[in-house]
Amino acid sequence: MSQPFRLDRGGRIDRDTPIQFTFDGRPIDAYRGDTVASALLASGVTLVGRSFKYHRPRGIVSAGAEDPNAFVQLGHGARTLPNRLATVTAATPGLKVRHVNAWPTLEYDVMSAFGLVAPFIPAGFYYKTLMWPRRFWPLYEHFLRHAAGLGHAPDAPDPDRYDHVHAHCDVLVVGAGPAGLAAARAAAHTGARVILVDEQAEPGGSLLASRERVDDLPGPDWADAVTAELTAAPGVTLLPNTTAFGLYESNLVLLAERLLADQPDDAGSESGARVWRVLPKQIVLATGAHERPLLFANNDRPGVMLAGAISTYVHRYAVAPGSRAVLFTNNDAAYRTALDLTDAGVPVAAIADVRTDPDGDLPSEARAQGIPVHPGAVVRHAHGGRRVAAAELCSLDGAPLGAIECDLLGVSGGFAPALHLHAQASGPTEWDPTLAAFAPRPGNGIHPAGAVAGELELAATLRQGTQAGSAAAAAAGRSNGSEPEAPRANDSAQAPIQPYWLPPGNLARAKPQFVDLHEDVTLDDLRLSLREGFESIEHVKRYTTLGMGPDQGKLANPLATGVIAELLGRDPASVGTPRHRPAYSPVSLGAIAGRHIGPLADPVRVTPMQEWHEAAGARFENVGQWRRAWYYPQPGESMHDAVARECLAVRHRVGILDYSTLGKIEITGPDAGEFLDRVYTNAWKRLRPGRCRYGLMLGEDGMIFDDGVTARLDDQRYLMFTSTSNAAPVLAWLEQWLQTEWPDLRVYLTSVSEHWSNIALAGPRSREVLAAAGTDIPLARRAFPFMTFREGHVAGVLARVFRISFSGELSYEINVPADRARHVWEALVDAGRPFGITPYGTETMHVLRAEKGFIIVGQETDGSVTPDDVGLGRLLSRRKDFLGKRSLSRPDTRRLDRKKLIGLLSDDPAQVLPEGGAVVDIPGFERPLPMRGHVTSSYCSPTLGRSIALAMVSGGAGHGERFYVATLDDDRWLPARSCNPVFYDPEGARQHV
Amino acid sequence: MLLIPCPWCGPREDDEFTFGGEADIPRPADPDALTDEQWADYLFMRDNRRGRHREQWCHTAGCRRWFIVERDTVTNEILGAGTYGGST
Amino acid sequence: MSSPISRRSPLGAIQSADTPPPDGQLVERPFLTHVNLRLDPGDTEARSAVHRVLGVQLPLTPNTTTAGDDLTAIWLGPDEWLLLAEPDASGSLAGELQTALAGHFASVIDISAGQTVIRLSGPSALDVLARSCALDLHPTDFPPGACAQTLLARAQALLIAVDGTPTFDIIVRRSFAPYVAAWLQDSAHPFGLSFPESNTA
Repeated sequence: MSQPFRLDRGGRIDRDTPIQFTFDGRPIDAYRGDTVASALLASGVTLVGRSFKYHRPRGIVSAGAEDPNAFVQLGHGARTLPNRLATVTAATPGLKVRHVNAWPTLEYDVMSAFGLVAPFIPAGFYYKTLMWPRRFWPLYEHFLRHAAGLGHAPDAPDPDRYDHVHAHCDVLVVGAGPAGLAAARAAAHTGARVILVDEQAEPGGSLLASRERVDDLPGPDWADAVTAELTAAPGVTLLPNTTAFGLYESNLVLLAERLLADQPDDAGSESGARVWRVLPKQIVLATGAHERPLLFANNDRPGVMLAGAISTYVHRYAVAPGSRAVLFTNNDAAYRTALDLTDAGVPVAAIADVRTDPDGDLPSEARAQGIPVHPGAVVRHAHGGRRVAAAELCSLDGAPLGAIECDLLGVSGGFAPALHLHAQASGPTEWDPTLAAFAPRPGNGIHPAGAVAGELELAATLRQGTQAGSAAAAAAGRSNGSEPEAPRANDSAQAPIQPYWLPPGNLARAKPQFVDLHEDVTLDDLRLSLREGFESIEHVKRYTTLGMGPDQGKLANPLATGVIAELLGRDPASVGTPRHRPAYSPVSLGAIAGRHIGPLADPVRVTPMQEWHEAAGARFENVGQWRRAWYYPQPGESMHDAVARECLAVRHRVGILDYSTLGKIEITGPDAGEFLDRVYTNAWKRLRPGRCRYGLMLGEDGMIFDDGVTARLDDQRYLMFTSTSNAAPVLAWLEQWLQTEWPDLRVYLTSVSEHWSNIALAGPRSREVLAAAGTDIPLARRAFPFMTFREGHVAGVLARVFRISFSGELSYEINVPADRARHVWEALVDAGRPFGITPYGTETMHVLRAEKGFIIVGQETDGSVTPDDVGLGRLLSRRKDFLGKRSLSRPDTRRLDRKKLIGLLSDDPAQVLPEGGAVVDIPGFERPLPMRGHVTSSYCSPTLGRSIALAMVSGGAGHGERFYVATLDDDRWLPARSCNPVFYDPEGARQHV
Repeated sequence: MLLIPCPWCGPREDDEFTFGGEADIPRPADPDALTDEQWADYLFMRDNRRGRHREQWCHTAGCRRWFIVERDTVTNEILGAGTYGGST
Repeated sequence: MSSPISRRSPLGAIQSADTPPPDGQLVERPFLTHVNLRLDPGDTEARSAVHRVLGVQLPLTPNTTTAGDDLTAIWLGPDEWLLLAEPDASGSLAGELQTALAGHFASVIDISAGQTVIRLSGPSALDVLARSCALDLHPTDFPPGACAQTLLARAQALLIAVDGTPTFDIIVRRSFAPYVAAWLQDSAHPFGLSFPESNTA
């Protein structure tokens, strides 16, 4: 296919490297260096999409990230990317590009019928109409989503890798236009570490489309020279194809680097994108400015473009986006475009200038070239359907000046600084009346330079960039005392703009005039919003959807500020702009996720016995980040079968449990006992070395925070066990009290959780197994009684053995260094074989402890449970203070109707009551039903041959009271009776044997 | 992202830290001597100040020290940081 | 008594290569001796006693280390250090310190089995670490001898700048070691660096 709009000469494209991609399946010829947009324009494709709401035909408006229309879908299948801008996407061989918002095809879009009924779907239409009747909303939503069609999600997992990098530098320069290049050069001159980013494929920005010379070089050549200089400079990182999309507190900047630029879209590339997380000491903001559109009827027709974008296509891509142009402006910039077009051989039929006496250098030059200039004139209407065909001019008072044929209508309403990053981080902005736009104020480590600072002249921009780069480096602590000389440029002075928001008089009534092309928000929509009282800019946004969508209103918002100000008769400074939020441009979810996916999404913590458990066929459950053996099914066994077998083995023979995940804290120092007295509810100072005690830790609110056994290792050393999930919180809690409240206590806390693995041997034969495995610890009942600990060797490894029990059986918890734990585990399993040793997992552990009525913090308790509530009042010392004690005498903690721990037996012994199920006195289906409590733990107990449950019930219950438990899914009520929560061996005889 | 100046380790990103609430709320020496109201005041009532706020932070992923930060709750600007009792 | 006692490091399947390749290495340094030491830095007698055992002074400047011939003392906090020594020093080092510090308010705890060391070196080491570490490890900010406790992705780690190659020792808790190793492996892949192939089954 030919490129009818490609110019014969010029541009920065590589004419020796022709490439081809497809747009909606149609081959498009291009050159390396083209963007998708420039290649489409060169080929004469003006229709690139349909609008969001009315499905009006839309074309390319800009040459950068501000475009409201040029969103396309790239690639296909698993690697497809929606919402990419054709204007910043490099054309690459084989790339598949599709439109995003038309159905069934771009040319014949049935939804464009919406355009015919536009008067009936004004702003707020969805809110007012489609919310009723409510139950139809899913139907409406389905239709609307189809109609809206904002691109398609990939249909398979993304094969690309996405990289995340942390980076640091003295000076981050955002934007590599004239200000950014000058700033980076000045900063690099001091030896500072500099990162320079630009969203375009090559640095240069506006210089790449400039007519001016810098330091006696053509603008683009100077940009190339400085780029080469920076590339060679040590400490400078140059990142093209990279968008700084978010600026956060502490001046953290997120960058998205596109890595697919040189890859055919369906070849297996290494990476899709890289997100840089930069923490610079100082930032030079050189993000330029966005040209403002102007209002007139049908101002959305394909062929209506920003004047500056036309210059960019001519200079940079050697593309004339039309064959006959009209320009409409309120400032001097459009005259430069007129001259560019004339130079390129494209006739400019007229320039309509709002100003009555445009007499600056550029207007004079345009007149001298014979371009017809109409002062005090405006475009009132664009004719044409899928492409503009003529511009109808009139004078400011409405006098017709005739329709002028054209297929390109360039507009320039002035320039609005691209202050998005600055404003995202709540940087201060102020209304600049000479620009008629908001501009950023410097400060807080941010140095705006160039167009973003309101400077539109090239020579001054280069000076400002140089100063900003030097100042930023100095503020970052880098300075060599000399500032490089600013580059010189020969641009012409520019006359001031004349703000033009609302067309005068009746012209403002012409329809439709689009303020926001992406969201199809018209001037009438703004009027309606204000008429209905939504006057704040944030309310206007929410009422009309102004500035929403993937373009985030980059062109719409600066225009809307002025229009709303004029409609309200207020100062634009007081109208403001909607809040700027990240991301500046769409960033793919894959890029945001980076490496944090799959196995790297979160640490998976395993014990030294993990491989053994796997080999033994264990099923695993996640306990926080830990992966713990849940149960060990033998061939053909269900979970129920396996757990029953494991439970009975522990009750009748011996079981072995990997309990390495328990938190373990060594508490050392002369005041360790005093410290424990303060944090535990019971007394510790008199615990003799070698003995263990169960402790309960409360928050200051009196609620149970953690529980566990603590052993006194020697005179000044204790070892505290915490629950698995509370290991880190308990240590932090203890440290907080020690460091902030009791610094006088001579106590050190050291986590030893990972050094010591914990193997629990439980069951009546456990003593024999331990003996068989080989130990020098005397095991006789009197030599090593319940609730004591001994140090000695087990299977040749120095171990700490605790005679404590979470199962109610004779039990030893054997702590050995983790690097030898697998050896000891295997030795115990070998030694236990003659005794029928059975590995058991967390499920069996839970059943066994529930049979004994032992609570689990976080299961029976939920942060609102006191020791008395779970029957542990005996652990509350009366003789000393402890954390939370005072709260136990507050009226609320002494209420008689507090929920208390009870046992529950369902009438049907085969029925396992649902955990979480509501407990009530009388079943019924009227809501709300008075609820007595809830089931906290519920299992089938193989030992008792029936189901058991623990519950927290208001006021507690005596023996044999009638309750009903609600099923969670099928509205049934299960009858049950209360009982003692210790179901098995209530005297505790078995653990003492 | 907040850069928090640990008095020992220097500025680090906020995900290395744990927030410990308002500072300067000493535990009453004799809780039993307090009325329920006084105890509730210690336990639950916080100033929730707009502006300068002294608060406790712990460098959890670093040196494990608790320290005090003075932060402006409106701007999030950190105005200073100090150790407990200036201990070393 | 059963079979001889075998020790297992958390990254047991990733043992050290014999000679470090010139373009850098990523290996585990298993079974080193790790001793946690707590004492009041104002107790100069205690510090002298420690000095006599270790042969190096305890670093008092935050985030620095002092290195002797076969032992490195690493600052963890104003009253907390990690002593990293050769494998066979285990037990004896903690024991000697305990004896030397008798009568002082101090805590000496062997935690060797609870953590391991990953060594990363070579010209791409900084690039590899930048994939998971938010700190500025540029030699101007983090010269050899510097250390820092921080996060690598979502896991806590202790980083030590060993030399200007650059070489880093990364100390992680045992149960987090596979996760950190997987991050480093994935980050190092584009730079042609990886853990040696498993030589234990």
